Amino acid sequence: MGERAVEARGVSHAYVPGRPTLCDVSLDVSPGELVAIVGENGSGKTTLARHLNALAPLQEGALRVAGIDAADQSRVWELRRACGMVFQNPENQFVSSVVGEDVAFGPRNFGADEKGARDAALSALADVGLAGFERRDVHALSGGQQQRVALAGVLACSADVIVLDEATSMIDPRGRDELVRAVTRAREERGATVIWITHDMELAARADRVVVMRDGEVAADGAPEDVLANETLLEGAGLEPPLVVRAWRELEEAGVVVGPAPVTVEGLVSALCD
Amino acid sequence: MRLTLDGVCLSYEGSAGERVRALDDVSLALSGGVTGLMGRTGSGKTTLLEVMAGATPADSGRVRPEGPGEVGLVFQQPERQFFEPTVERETTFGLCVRGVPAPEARERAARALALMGLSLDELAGRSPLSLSGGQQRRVAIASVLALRPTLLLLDEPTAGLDPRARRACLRAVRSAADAGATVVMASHDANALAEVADRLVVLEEGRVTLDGAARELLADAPLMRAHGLEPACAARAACALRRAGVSVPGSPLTADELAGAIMAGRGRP
Amino acid sequence: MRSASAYVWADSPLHRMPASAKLAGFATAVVLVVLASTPGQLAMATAAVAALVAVSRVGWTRAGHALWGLRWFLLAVLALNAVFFSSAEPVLELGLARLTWEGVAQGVRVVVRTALVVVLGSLLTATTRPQQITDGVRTLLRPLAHLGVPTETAALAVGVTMQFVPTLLRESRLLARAQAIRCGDFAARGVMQRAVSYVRLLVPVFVSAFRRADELSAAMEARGYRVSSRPACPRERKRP
Repeated sequence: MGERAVEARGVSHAYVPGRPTLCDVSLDVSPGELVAIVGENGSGKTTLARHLNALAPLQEGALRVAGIDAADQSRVWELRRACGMVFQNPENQFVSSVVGEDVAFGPRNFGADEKGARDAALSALADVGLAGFERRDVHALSGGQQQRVALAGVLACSADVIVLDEATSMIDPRGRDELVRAVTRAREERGATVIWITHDMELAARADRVVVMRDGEVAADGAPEDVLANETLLEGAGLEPPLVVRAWRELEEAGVVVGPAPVTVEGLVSALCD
Repeated sequence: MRLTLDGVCLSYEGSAGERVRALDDVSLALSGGVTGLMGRTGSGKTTLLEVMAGATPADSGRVRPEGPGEVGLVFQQPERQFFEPTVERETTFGLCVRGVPAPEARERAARALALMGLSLDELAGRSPLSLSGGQQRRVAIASVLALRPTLLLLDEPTAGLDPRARRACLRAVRSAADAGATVVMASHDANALAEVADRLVVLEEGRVTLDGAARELLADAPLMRAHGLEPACAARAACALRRAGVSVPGSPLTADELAGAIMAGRGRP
Repeated sequence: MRSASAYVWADSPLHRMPASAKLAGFATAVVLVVLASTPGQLAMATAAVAALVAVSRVGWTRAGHALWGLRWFLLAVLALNAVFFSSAEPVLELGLARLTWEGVAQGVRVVVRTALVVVLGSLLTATTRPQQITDGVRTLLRPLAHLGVPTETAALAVGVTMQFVPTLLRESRLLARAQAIRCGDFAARGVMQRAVSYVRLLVPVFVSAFRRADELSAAMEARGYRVSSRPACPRERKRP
């Protein structure tokens, strides 16, 4: 296990000089890990995500994604193949209104021939649970289906790292669950590394690790049980701990329970049943 | 404002030329309080709000607003409607069109922004488009609140917001209702509705399939799931605990109530 | 939730016609309409367009929908031409404005031409799916590829634009409703107010179009798209 999926060292970035959006960010992500990034609007989450596949140019610091140096201009293209993104607004990321055509767009850009691109598209669609959808109109799909088409577009390029930038904020809970299932499957079957930017604390609680961003800096980085149970830290970053944690604190105060706070419903059940 | 809907039906032409029923015999009487409107995407929530606002005429049935005041409709992602160069002009626009004198308009806009946790003095000269996503949403909602509508309709006001903006938004919704307005809030977010809604209406394929006290319905996790909806987190936790043999009496909806119910289940006051 | 797609689900000779032929036909028809100037020619063009609408089975309402949306604009064009086009033999004079029969005739000509082009455009999009239009453009441009013209890029640009049309139409309608509500009953007072509200509508529509374009270009870039120096077009790749 040599190479890390993401290795950021002292990455800083400013759109306007003197007003940094990222400040000395260091972050390591191991291959196959699911890392949730949480933070207020304007805390630098999206800028960080945009660095990962070179949509935002590296101004300061060092960044390697899937072993590729982001500062190396000649490898930008390789980097983008290795690290795919799913964006917030499903409607604004399609280049073709036909599902199969859209999913094949990435592979084609990365040099696949017509048949190779189509095969990659069909297998990626099957992986996100949309087998047989290749001729459908993307605009006639539900939000959850649209986001899975976008995910398939990333998988079809056989990306090693998948970045989801608030990909569930515009779809309903059912669509969110569909997308979570498809991402889980991509991790299990393809060993993909996932970086999930979200406001949804319950979603973050299910990650391997949670990174909290505050004013362009990494305010915390650790296991969900440690980070999400730390109210002082979260409130300082403009965030709210999961409901389960808040309930646990009340129980703790009343002397009903002791020990570390669970962060998920399942965690609460097992903590109370012991 | 009281609002009565009587047998409202509405259909439109789908992409394959078929008639799609958006609203099917919807009858509701609303008077004060916050009514939560839940339903899966495509169940007709947005259409219903537009019919309530009088922005879309119904094919049949009656929509009867009664009482003084006017309607405020906050569309999904209302920040997309910005057209004025500054926050001050954006938030006072509706008032100026209605002939409210400038100082009073400014005063009302400032109060609406304050309710959303923002300061007009700080933001007045800034372009609404230069604000962060959460601030933009709050400015957009404030510009409707400044009109002091007596019927306030909101479509997914909390979608995509960070916790700070979300809290401000829910607080404003509650205070509009406390000031006497009839409020309808369409949302997928059961946790948000658990905090503010008095009544809950569930739409499925354009029909009202559930209508009752928000507290009872939202706390009933199995019922919510049976209607294809996600229950509030506290309700889900209570349901999972009961299944594991932990006694959780009552119908908790918030963190406090969940903790209280667990204590009560253990024989603690 | 209303459908905003311009495509009308029906079966007609126009629906079945290849998109490239329709595009070429559309271009020719537009040229002919613009060239028509005598009342006879304009009447003939109108009759031909009406015949096409009848053949298309799209329905008169759908074919004329876009036209109805432009009624105020067309009326303004007619009025402006009528009073400003000519200064000879005025029927009525009021300051700079001179109502002349010549101006009225010119206004009618311009309005009829514009209306015919709009109806033809509606017919094209009502009988052809966006994807077919993109493919049609690609087919029509293919000969130019030999001259080194980036036809794939052009076809992609057309396709992406076509895709955004229904979304932007839906959004404009929504914005119009939103603004009408914000203005209360004060919205529809007179032509001047109406004109102002159209301008107010343009700002968010443009902002939204730019934002969408911006997001889309980021999404395309993230998926390896480069306008220049693409590694190879799929078609070129096929050759051994």
